Amino acid sequence: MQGCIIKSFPNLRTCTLGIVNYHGSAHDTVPGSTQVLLQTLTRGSKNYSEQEIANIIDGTGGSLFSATEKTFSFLGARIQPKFVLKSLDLLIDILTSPNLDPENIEIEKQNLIQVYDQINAHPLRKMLLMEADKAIFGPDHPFGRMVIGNPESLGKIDAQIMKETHSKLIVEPWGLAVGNFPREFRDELIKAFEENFLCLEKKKTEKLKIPSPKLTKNHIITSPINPNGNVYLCLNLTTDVTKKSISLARFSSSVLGESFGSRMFSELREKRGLGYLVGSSLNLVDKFLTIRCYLETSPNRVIEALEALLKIIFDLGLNKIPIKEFRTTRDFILGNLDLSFDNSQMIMSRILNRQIYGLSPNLDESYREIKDVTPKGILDWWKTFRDNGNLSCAVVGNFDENELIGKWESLLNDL
Amino acid sequence: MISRNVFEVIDELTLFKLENNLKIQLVPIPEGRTALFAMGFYAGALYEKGFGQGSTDGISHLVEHMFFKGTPKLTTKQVNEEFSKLGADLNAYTSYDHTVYYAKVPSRHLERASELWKDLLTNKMIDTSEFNAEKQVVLQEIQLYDDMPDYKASTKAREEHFKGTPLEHSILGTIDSVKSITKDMLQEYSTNYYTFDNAILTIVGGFDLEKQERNLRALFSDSINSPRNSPLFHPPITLRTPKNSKITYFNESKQLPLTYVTLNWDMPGTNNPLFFPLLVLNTFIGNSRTSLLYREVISKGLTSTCRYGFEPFFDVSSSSIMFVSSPEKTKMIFERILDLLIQVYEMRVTSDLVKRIQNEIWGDYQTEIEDPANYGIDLTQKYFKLRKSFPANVFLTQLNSISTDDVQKAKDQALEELNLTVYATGNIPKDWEPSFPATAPW
Repeated sequence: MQGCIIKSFPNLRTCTLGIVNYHGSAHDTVPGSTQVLLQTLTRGSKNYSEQEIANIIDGTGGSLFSATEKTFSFLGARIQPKFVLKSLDLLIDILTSPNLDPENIEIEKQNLIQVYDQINAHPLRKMLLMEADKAIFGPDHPFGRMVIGNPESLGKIDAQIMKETHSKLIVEPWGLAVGNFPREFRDELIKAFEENFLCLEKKKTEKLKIPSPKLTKNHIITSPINPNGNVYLCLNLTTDVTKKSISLARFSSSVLGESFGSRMFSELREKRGLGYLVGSSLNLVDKFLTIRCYLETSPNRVIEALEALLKIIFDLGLNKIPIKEFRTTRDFILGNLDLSFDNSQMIMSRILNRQIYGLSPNLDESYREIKDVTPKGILDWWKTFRDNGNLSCAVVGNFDENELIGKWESLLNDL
Repeated sequence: MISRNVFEVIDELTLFKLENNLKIQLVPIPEGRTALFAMGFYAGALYEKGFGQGSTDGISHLVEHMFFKGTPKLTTKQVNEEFSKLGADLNAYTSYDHTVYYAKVPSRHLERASELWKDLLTNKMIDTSEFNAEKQVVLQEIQLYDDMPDYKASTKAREEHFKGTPLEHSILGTIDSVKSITKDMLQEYSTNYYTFDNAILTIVGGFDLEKQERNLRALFSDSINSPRNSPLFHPPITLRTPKNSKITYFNESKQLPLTYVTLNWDMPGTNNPLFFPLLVLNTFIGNSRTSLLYREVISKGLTSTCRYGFEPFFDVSSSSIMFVSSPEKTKMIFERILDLLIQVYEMRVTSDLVKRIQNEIWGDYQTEIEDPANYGIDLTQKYFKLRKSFPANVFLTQLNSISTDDVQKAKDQALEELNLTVYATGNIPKDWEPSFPATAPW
């Protein structure tokens, strides 16, 4: 057993439980199979029917959730405190002894084919969920494809593939519980985790290897759709993950586009009125870290938007962040870290991400990491990024493909 | 010791009014590490029809966008920076019957956040160049939502269903209406509707009640913005014709692989004594895994997307079911949904069912309000929808007082006649004309 992390917060009304396995969509031999499996798990198990699962979790105001990431998967529940032990038993049961009824597998498979089509028809979601990773890792690498696979791969999934996927699912499992746990109850919960994890240990399997992707420099991919609509643009800055780089990237992403005071928001939205949706985020996949900068704009302003966005990004590698902006950003991040402390699911999500990427699950550490960042540290990191990092771009919507690709190349040369 | 100006203490909520008529509701959360500051106004899309000449659709939403654009003390950039320094999650939304500006901050920054809000609320400025730039942003936003077929199906169905009422237009307005709004119009609308006597300030989170009350009194008591020059409540939403059962169908084909369909109908509003029993009925119909729609539509594999929507207003509520499907399955899913509505209409409500759903609603509500920000927004919304303060335990008492008979009556009244508006977009099946099945009671 890899252990469990139990955190108690006296202000919480709910508990969130979770079980993590180091098996994700990138391990799928048939793309989408882990996601189909996770959805099918909630359809019933040896000891719980689908209706019983709904009654225990949803019927008490809770929710059951699962997530397939590229390198790990997660099954969890947010419930009222009095249902914690029952919910833990339920989660372990559906994870280790699912029914995997062929009819339900077919339904979940068809549901995901429809979800794929919906994403494909929705330019913003297509850009963020489908095209951005494709631009970074290439369409053929497991990191470059969507976690839900595609209609062709989903079409191949059957009961046998589900059985095989399930046999590979439980890899280095560990558990998480966040809630308001009095001391005596915490001891009981630890005991319950230990007992339940014995079942997981029996089903445990080896972690599968994923080939390293070859990143292409200055790669652009374009998806013209929706001839009367807008343009959706995403620039990805990808580099290797190190413990230190996560806080530097977090800081940089905030400077770029995470708040109303950010550079993207001020320049692209406030000053130029280029688009409504303007933002940036930090995304981690295996050993890669990406800062995504995205915006939506009208077709006649896409070149202006691309040029302005590139200038904002390149400036971070050329000039040290002014001290006033640096302090404002640091205060923003530190204050923002506090905002998740009144929601058990958000706290759990933060602990999970830290643990996955080798950071201490102690959330107080995240404050220290941000306080250690300096303007010089950021500039140096960006200089390294200029030499070793990768820039890629995904564009979806209504635009002239030739004009955009031509401009992309000339802008990069100029900059 | 609570001040003499307090006129109500409702369970954990303290409600008081300042001399400038600003109403304030406070809910301290012991051990809470964050706090929500939310200023809500009786202003929104429903109020726009009574204002000015020509179309001003979308003006409330445009006011919302201009709200953070600086004061004589702080430029727009400085406003953004000051909130950023607090780590604030700053936002606003405009709905049909109210508008809310809010920020979630770490509790230790609540005092500074309140000062910033005071400046923004009492010293609004509208700069011409910022106004023009922001109009472009709003036009982009309209186009952004236009690119989303699921959003479009839902809003168009509602607008068509409530044609002839103040609910007939979109909150965002149209490209033309937004373009036609001038700075002067915005200024006038803003002065008329966004006043303290038209507002409620809600603060929920980790703070000391007495200290917070003192701070707010000191901060806001001397502030005067213009008195209200508008009716407090929005114009009534009166449906065109007496309710009778029929299906009215609208569609707009788009080059997409899937069909997006919304069924919209009306239900009693919050002024109806059967409103709370209706909530039980709503939970029975959709959206959790225990609901009828989930069990019979999603779980059976008819579609992955089938959502029940319920938006209450004082006079009437808007109910909807939105689904996405391949064109081949559209008719079948539509018919299945109608079958389910018939099933609901014909079923006998039992006490076991009501008890189970009461537990689910309360559990769900506790999960929702765990985060003070959600609790604060919920209290603000309830204030405008129910026109009174409504803290969690009052909701629990109300919920527990619902009887089986109440739910039966609410169901009978809500579904006795079904005036359904259906809107479809995307890849619409040819020759599809939605109609009631022969077995329908309507």
